Amino acid sequence: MPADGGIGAATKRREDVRFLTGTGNYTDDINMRGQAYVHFLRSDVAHGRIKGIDTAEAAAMPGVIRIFTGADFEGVGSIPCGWQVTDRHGQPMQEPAHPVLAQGKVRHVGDPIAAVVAESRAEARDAAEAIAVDIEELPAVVDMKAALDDGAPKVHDDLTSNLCYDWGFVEDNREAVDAAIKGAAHVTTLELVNQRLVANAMEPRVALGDYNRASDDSTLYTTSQNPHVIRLLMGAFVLGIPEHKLRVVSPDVGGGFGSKIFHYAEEAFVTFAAKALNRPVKWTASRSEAFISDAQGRDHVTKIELALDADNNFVAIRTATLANMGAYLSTFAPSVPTYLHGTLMAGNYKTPNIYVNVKAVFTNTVPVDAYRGAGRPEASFQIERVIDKAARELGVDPIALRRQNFVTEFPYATPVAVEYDTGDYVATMDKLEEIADIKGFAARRAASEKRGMLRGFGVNCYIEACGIAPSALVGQLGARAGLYESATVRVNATGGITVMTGSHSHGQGHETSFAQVVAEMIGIDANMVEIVHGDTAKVPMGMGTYGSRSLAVGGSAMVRATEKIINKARKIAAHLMEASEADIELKDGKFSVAGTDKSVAWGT
Amino acid sequence: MYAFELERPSTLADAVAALSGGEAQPLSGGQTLIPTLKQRLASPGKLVSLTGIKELRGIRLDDAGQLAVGAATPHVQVAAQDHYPALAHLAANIGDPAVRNRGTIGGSLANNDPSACYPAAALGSGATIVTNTREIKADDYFTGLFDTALEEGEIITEVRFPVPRRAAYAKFEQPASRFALVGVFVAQYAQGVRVAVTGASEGGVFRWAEAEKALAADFSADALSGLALDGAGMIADLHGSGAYRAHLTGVMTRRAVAAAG
Repeated sequence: MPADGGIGAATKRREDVRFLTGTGNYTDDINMRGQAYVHFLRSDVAHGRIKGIDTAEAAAMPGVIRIFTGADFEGVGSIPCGWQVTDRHGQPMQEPAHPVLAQGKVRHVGDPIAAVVAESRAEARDAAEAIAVDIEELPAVVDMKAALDDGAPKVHDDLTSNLCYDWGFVEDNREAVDAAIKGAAHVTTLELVNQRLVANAMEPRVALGDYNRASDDSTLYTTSQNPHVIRLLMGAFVLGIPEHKLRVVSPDVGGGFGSKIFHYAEEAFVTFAAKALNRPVKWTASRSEAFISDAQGRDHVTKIELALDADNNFVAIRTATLANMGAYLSTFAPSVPTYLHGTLMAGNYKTPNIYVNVKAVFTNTVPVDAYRGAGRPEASFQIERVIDKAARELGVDPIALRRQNFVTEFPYATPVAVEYDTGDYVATMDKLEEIADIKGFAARRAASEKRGMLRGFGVNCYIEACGIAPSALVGQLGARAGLYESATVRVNATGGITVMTGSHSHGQGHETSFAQVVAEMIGIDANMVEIVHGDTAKVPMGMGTYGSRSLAVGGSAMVRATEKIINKARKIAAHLMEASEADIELKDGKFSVAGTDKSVAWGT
Repeated sequence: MYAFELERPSTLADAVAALSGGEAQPLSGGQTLIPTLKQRLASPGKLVSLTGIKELRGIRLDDAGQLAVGAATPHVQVAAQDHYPALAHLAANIGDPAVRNRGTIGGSLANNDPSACYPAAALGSGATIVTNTREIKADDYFTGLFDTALEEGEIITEVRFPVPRRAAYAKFEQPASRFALVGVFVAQYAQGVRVAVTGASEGGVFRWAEAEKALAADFSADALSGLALDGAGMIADLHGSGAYRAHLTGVMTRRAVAAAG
């Protein structure tokens, strides 16, 4: 173990020196010579047809450089969706176009209609107010059930309906589940609303586009959890810029909770406008703007049924969920209520028959995408709530009902496509009962009641599939890019190590914790290791940070790369000490020849 | 924020003159006005800052023994005085340190936010609001939601608080804004007891007459048992219904009485 304690040692986070002293480098801290500012004029109606945009008065206002509208983006690609879900009839999901600036229609409050680029932020905003937009307001659908009614207003005129997909999981289970529920001794039914929420990272989104006319290189500085993904999506699908001509930089990122995974129209706009105007163009979201332009979370309405036999064994689970996509498909939106949700529907329990139905729905609302856990908390919430309700209906102890139905033999293949390799839920529950002092609860409740207070007790089990990998699996499930991760470990001439990782911190503290991993493998102190991330020009390839994947996937890449370094170093050490490679041992940053006092230290 | 002119007069007379020009609006600590401007919800042509006027700042005891607070005095200074502890306690718990260092008593009373703390203290103490032209009794000053007896261009110069025998302010905080979900100021004087409630009513700060009467007879929390307000006319929003606020008013009044000792 290194002298500083290695992996997990309590230490001060190295990034906190700059964060706590106001010297962090967030995207909004970056300002370029000749920089112009963009303000987006956004729709204040949920649904409407654009009949005309008059920019003449605004264009003549002080400081205005140029006003862009949807017409300027004809021929430019659509903001892409990164995940294709196939419905239960084998058909691909309905996938609408998502223009950078509205074309013909606005589909949610906040949908950008025009963009004013000006010498200052205030001038851009003043001019945006002077743009006259003639909008014919159309009936809007915001309720998912209403959106699926025959004759409901269509969010996208060119789609057949507001249904994005009707997904069954696992479709082959459907009949067996129906039969099991029909023959069950008891069925508990629960309807749940998992309400929409706004992610609200502390740092609002910012995008700064820059263009070098001499080299034809574009650079986007953006608040992203995964700059390489933005480079891929924006370069390949929207603007048609190849990777070697497009650099994406995400410096310090002040929180994301998922909302900074996705490729947004504003990023494409500033990159496009920087080239069109040959000037850097910057956008900084206001907090209010974040509420109507950042992808939001959850918004599921679910009916779940839990069927039990006469001995209270779970025999089937059937769920029907409506999942709100909002007005457009955000980058990972289709995956959230499906593969990130359906695969978790077994929970910790050996229910032999499970069928999950999800209907994803377009509405005239801000797009919804992955947020904290993304689909998995929604699944757990349903299972655990319905179990509690069943326990109440049957008059049995909710912990006993859970224990009775725990998976106890591993590996266990769930009816929803995943296999649990290991686990010991009984031991975990034993420990929980001990530390929560369940036995003493009745006395504590009585004591509370004596004081006129109420005391409650709740228990919840949780199992989560973390990491969103490997590529082969997620590819089968509809991901349009591999969800691998890369790492480059470079040993500098004097022994210091630079690690380039495709993961990216938006507050997790990777610079500290990742350094501990590499340092411990070699046996040196973490201050010998520097973590570099967040810049496609420095890190060759990456898929970013979301779905609890940074250590599981990014960390694994880093470990594999470090192993290669150690093996190479071992060869060199063997050569230096004129010994056989098989006899070389690495301990505490020192290579030694087994059974001798010969050694060379790391970096010599 | 829209473009505007800013004037920083150093005397009250200059401020009055600057405000007479129609489009001008006074600016004190700016804790409400600046966010309003940032949201582009107001577009005054000119702002006249009152914080550079020496005669509007400071705290003193006047000849009648009243605590006289200059209108442009920030909350931190009121929190630091020890002549009127209940008022100091109230000021010390307004907003956050930034608000308390910038916000002023005159600005708060002129704005008369229905959830602000100072209106409860002024009404609960029977304070006198002194302006550049006259003196207004607190009972005549608060005329409704964000509405006061102030005329166009009239500037509050000082607020005079008679110091009570005992008093306390109990606030149930809205944790995000630290405004009062309900705040109750209770003060006992030789002439009687005053109970002023902020945060609860759609009409802004008000006196709870029944509670005052009960407390005048017996200044104890028990004296309030059986007294209840009606939820009608109370503010109802996502933080609480009218009935909830009516109930909370009773609870906070009892807490204030208990705290006054």
